[in-house]
Amino acid sequence: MTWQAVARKDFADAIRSRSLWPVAGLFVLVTTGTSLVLTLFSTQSASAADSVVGIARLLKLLAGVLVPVTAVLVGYRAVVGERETGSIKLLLSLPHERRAVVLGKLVGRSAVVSVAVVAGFGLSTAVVAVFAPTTLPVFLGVTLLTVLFAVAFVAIAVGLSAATGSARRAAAGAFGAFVVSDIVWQRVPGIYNVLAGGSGPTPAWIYFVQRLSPSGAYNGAFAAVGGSSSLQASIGGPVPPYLTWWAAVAVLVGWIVLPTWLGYRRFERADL
Amino acid sequence: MVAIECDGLRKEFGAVTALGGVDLAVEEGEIFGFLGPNGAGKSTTIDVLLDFVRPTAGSATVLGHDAQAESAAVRQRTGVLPEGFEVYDRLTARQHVRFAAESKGVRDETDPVALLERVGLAEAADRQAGGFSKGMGQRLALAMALVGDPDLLILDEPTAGLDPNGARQLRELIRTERDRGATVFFSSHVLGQVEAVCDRVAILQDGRVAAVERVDDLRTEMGADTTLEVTVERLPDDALAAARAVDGVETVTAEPDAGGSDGDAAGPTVAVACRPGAKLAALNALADNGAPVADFATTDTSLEDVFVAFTEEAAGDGGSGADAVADGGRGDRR
Repeated sequence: MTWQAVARKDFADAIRSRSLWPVAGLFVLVTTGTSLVLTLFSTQSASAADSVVGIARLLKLLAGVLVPVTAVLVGYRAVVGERETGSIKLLLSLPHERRAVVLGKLVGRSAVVSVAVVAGFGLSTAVVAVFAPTTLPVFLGVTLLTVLFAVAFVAIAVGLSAATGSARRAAAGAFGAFVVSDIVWQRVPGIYNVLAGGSGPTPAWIYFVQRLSPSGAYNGAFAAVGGSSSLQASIGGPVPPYLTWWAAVAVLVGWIVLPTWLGYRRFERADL
Repeated sequence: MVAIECDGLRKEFGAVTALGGVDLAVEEGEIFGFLGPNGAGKSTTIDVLLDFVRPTAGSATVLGHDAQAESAAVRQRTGVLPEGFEVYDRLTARQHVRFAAESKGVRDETDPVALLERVGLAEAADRQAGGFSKGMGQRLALAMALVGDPDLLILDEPTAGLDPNGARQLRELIRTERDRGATVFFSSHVLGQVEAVCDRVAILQDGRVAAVERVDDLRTEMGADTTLEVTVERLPDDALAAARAVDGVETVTAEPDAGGSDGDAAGPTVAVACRPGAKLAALNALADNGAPVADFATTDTSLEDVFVAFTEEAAGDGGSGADAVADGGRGDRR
């Protein structure tokens, strides 16, 4: 396998893309700015640990929107862009298996998005650490989870990019996945409550359905740093295994593996 | 040993038949020209050899490996200059070559600048390829193709975008690679390029191989190579006899004096059909035997003529590409 060479090339290529910088820059600016403002205000009140989790929660909310958008923008042209320009002929004239191309693209583009995430959260972490150094683990945890979340959307975009011959279709599919995941799917418990009459605790499996989307899984995984007391309140009892944070992490991993594999399957059979 | 073997290769894109059963055998160590008009199926054939597209029927073997099942092994030993490709705008020429070397696992043995030097692109080594002209892009892809001293070079329309000087450098490079032991498979619709460098050619027409010939034999089949039109001051019979006696001369015909219609071309005219190497000897034979040469012109039988003849033959069988062939060949020739 030669995916490392593809990944290195792709990272060097994509990181120089000017269209990426406005989004990534916005992300870094917003996360850092938010944590700076919140830190300055909240350290005067409440307990430091609580406010840090609060800041992390807000950053997660921002990242929930900005990260998928960045990931999709970085990823959707990964394979199909090379097909449309014809540079794929240069790429596949070299001894790369097609699975190495898809894997290399996933790794290369994930690295690009991870740089943006780590930069944004890294600065935020530095800001918060100045005021509350003991809460570094919270921020490292959120950073890792966000990287995982970002890679899931890169995988969706790269998978679609490998599956189709049209960049426009890949973009539409990937942004569609974001809209469904972040806006529609998040409302699953709310929709259920309306349909069910709105009384009593929501059944736990409804939350599991919600967590099957990448955004739902990202939010669910946040329990790793933020605890699960509000979830316990919602379902009215202890958290079952399928609603633990690591189950949500497993779902995120699934969102990395499955789209990549399906995209590869289509790409493998395609005439270029 | 056979470097490339195609056996009944068919490729259909929906209702369009791109390849209608291509049979081909390219020997190791030869420079093989793959000729045909645009749309004849040259690139599709190459795409099958590199596993860019999968054949509907038939099989292809490259360097002993199945072109579909063992494609990576094929491409490990092959250098490719694809057609209709684009370079990576944001990467430098050096990064391109290094990527090729990493991909082939020969990074440590590869000197990117030396390879760029060979294709005349060394001074642009650290420039981003986005600003390159088409010809520079061709040179860059060629440098990538040369990485790792491949056993086979597949060059798809390599002269596209090259100026005449670049085309000459390319021919020299192709010969150097052949002398190193590589097989060169070279597609073109520009006949002059192929004629100048190839040992054998296949002529592709409407998705089938219409002919495979040695370049020399093609010319022979078409008759004499060169026709000399010589205007002399006088034309004694001795001069005609002497010219006919020259080795390599096939026919010598005295033509009626064209002086009346053609102003200053006063004097008898002789048509000499001969091999290219015999031209000067024929002229000397005339001059030394009482027929001082006033003027002369030559007409070479080019592969283009051969090509048109072959494809018109194919058109006679129901094909319809002969016009396109002639246009393509002439329009793009040097």
